Amino acid sequence: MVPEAPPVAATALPSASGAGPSAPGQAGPGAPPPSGGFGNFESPNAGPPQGKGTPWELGTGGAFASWRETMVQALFEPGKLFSSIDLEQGRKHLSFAIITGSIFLMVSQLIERFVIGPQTEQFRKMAQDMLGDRGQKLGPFVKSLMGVNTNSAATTIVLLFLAPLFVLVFLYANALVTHGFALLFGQSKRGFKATFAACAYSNATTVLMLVPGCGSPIAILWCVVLIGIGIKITHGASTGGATAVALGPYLLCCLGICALTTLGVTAAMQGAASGFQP
Amino acid sequence: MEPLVAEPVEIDRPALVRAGPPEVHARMLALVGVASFVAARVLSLDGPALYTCPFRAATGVPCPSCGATHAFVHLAHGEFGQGLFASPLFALLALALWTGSAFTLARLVGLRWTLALPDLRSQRARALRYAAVATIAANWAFVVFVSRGGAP
Repeated sequence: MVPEAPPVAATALPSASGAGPSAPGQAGPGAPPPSGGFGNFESPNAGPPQGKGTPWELGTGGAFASWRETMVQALFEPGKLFSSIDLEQGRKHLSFAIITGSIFLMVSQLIERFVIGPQTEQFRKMAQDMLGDRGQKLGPFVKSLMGVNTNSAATTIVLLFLAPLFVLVFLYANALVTHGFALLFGQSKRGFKATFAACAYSNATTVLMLVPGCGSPIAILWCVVLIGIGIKITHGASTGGATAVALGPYLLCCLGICALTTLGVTAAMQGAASGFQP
Repeated sequence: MEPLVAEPVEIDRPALVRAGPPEVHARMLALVGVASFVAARVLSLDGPALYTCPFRAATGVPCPSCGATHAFVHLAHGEFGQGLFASPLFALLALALWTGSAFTLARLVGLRWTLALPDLRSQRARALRYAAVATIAANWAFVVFVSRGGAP
């Protein structure tokens, strides 16, 4: 059994990141496996020094106490939390995100299905009775507006069991997209592990999903803010760079909408102008 | 006088590098890859849409990631041409994800080599960034073109 790849030596030069002696056929059987290939997420060590560990990583006072302390720090003292992250504790980052995200996703699903859903259904029926035929169109609109879970009980149960898998997929998708923007903007100074840690602890905002209605959008917005703070601290990025990395995916969509709107308005104006020509 | 800070040195990496067992992130990414492959095999494109793109709903134009689901599903069924037609970038990303997952699974059972990744801290970094932006833009243009009835 080959031992786990050791942490990368502290250097900013790419020559020491696993390229040199690792060529096939050159490395001896006793040589330690270098990092840098697919499946090895090196920390380039060009950023700030690592912290000693978050409460969740240290596990002081038991699992629940350390989780609660980490939640409090993530929500109210994110700077303190992110500056204490130990990037080599990838399993801890992952477990915190999975446990936190799954619990609150499950509970929010149950609240929507069994508490909010029936009330909205009553409201929809009342609106249909009042509006007659027009209410037929209003019903789905109200449902979609409030984002109510209208799944069957069986589907809800299946979704509850799959919640950890959903959280895992979205966590890695989020981390990969964010890290892609960090690479694009040249802000990735400590590798994927740092981005992943920032995204993982930002999952603490899923607690807001328990608030019906406005909870989910606020959770997303706060999550983006926390990712920005996390990128700034874990990568040692500039404020502008961290903001760009966190907002990049969302700005891309917004800028696209603005560009297309401008194009549409320009085309409409040109069309109107040509219509008035004799 | 010699500068105190060394300039980054460009070194060509081999295609394969020696490596030990995969790290936790690699294992989880492999799990994500397997889950996405299974979902893409099970998912039917004939049913109602699972998700409506808000960008497309607002503008009538597909967003940069539109066509990703179709690309994954077609590729999982071995329909490479249709997958590339749905979204070339996400078809390649699906291939990369599943190839990486296969490598990780192979490493879990004893393979001691893995694919080398490009070093984005090297002098090529700027060119790679521009290439990435250009690739995303080209893919978006292609998806918009196809959605307007254009032929590849």
